[in-house]
Amino acid sequence: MNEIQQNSAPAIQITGLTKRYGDFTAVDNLSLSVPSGVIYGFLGPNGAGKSTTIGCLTGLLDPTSGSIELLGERFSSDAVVLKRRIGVMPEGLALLDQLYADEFLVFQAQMFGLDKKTAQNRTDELLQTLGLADTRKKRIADFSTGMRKKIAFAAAVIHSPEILFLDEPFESIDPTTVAMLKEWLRRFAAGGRTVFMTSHVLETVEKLCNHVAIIKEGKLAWNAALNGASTLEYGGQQYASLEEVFLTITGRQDSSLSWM
Amino acid sequence: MLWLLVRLRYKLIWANMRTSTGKVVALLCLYVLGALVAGIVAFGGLGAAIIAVKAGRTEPVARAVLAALFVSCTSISLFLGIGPTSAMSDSALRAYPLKARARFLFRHLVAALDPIWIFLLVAAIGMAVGFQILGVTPIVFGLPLALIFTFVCYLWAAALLAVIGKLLEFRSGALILMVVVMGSILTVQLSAESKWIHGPIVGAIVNRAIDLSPAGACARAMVADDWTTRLAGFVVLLICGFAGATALRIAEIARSRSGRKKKGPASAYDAYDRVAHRISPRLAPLVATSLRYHLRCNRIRYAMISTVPILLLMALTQDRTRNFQGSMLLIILFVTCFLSTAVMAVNFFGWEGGGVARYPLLPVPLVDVLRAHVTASIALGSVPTLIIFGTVLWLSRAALSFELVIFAIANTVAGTFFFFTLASWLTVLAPRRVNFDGMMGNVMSRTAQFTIIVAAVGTMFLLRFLAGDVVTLAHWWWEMVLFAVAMYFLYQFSMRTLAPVLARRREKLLDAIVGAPIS
Repeated sequence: MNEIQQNSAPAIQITGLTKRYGDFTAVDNLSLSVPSGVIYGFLGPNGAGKSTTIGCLTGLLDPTSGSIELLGERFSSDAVVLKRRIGVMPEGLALLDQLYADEFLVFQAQMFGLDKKTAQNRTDELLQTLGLADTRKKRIADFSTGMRKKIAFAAAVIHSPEILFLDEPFESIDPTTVAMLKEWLRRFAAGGRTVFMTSHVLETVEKLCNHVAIIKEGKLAWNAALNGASTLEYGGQQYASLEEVFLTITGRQDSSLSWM
Repeated sequence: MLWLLVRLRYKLIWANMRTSTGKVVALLCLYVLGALVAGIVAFGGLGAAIIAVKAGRTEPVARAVLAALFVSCTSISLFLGIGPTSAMSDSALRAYPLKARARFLFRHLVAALDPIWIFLLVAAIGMAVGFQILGVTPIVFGLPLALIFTFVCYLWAAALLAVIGKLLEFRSGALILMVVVMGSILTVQLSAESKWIHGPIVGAIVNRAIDLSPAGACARAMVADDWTTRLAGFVVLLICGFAGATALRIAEIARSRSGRKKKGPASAYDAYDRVAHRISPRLAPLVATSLRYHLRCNRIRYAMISTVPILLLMALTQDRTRNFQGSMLLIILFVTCFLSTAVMAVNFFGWEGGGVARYPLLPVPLVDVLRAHVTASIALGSVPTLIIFGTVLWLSRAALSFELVIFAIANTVAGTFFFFTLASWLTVLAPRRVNFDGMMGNVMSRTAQFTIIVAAVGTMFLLRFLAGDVVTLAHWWWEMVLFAVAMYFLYQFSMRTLAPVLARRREKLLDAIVGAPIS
């Protein structure tokens, strides 16, 4: 992946982002600044608004109010030029199931402006690296969950974007590939690019991400730089792990079920 | 359990309908309209019964009417996907504690409740009522017969679809199907022109075959003079039903066992991309993807294969007067360019399932994706059009004036752009998630069914009516050219108007396709 110039402006600037579905507010006045060259973990319990936020940041959803700036430019769902600079692995993966793996990646690359030869070369390289070379002529519909995730990841990075949005990137992928992807993401961020990812695996987030934000019921509950800190501060108290902070913010649940 | 699942099925339909404003009203309107059509159909059945009795040929007329109903419903099902629906797929039903036989029964009972089979049922009931009024058959016997006849027809149509689906899974399946369809058509054509077919032996064989069909058996059970013959007809009808169910079950088991063959070109950039680049350099990757979706879909492959021979059959089995040739040319060419891809065209995004969410992420306006789909569809539709146009032109070269040919071409262009204008709006306003691999299944929204049947097929009949005097019609060739140009601009204008509508409805579209269950 090519190195890009470190930019002093934040890669992602969210101001007062709100997304409502009728009476239900999925994201509530969220403001966030994500610097360039970091891996940013965006956490929260199920239904907290993580995927909705990513949807708004990538053009899948229209915010009800608020503004989004990506790479210093105002972003909206019809900002086609700006979309070329971002890569997305959305919730549900959004794969064109009737295409073969290589056809899909070449299609994705061409849509993002790569010429035929480069598209083909990068496709070959990605399929080889992700262990999918033997399945290049298999319909994506026939792929296992893990293979689908790998293809979605390949589609997100094939055009070498400046910001990478990943929704639950490591779920269902084998440990070897996860280790490789983590290494890729570290190199990606070291080159001045930005990764914005959600995950429920707090241990992974703690080791991989430089910054973390926790969202609860659509509102930003906490954000902090990790950078290898041994303890984390929340509400004036020190916590030993990200999991401790997360559980304190989101609240522990009673696990007793009388009939079990 | 079955009752719970039937309720679930209709709850899901209702849930889908109420998700967007105005759909409830549309649903009610369509069902009211459907009830009106059903009423007309019932009167048709009643009228047929009266004519049959008054003509003194009760059984042959009843048999012919029932056979015609069966053939019409099956043809519509095969072409437009209306009719047999898998409703809730077998894999979805596996989540419930149901045995394989119960799942099979449930799926097909629910599927037989689709509108096209309801119409057949209503017509058959109308006939049964007519026979009751005329004192031929008591309604207590006629009504169950009508019900059984409808279900048996459904089973035969479903079995036929399942067999076609199975055939198309093989590399040579399309070729076999083409040979079967063409062979049948040639046989019909040769038979129609041969004196041999009118001989007593062949006549007896054909008669016997119809006797043993559901239509013949049902007609005999309904109106035969003595009760022994009626009972025999009833037994034959039951055997037909059993045979249909067995064939369907075997075909379904065979389908589920077969794996998809891995095949494909060495490079991801292949013929699809080259063709797409020639058609539309600006939208080439999108057009290529759409071409792949079209040509990998069994329903479209089947429609592409059968469109040419079926429409040619229409042209070849009739007399070759000048008027006829002209009118056939107009009617056939009006429909060919969109007929083979119509099922996909009224709901382009629905065929992509969750993949539709990929498009808003791409750095192109969403309307360009729709344009690419339409471009691919027109390109594919033009193949059968050219074949049919060339054949009809060659067969009637002496009978057709230059003006009429121009009229016909303009008519085709007008029909194509008119249809794709409607189809584009339907794609955006009435999206519906579709099971791409299923041969069976009611894949169109109610609105799309209504549009295709009323707008497209209705216009076809209107043309047939207008084309009664093609010589006069040909004088209007330049008006038709202007009309074609107007339709092209209507299509372009429609796309411009659709761009903001599509952008605004993007979330609803995704909800309907990505969020909705496969039905």
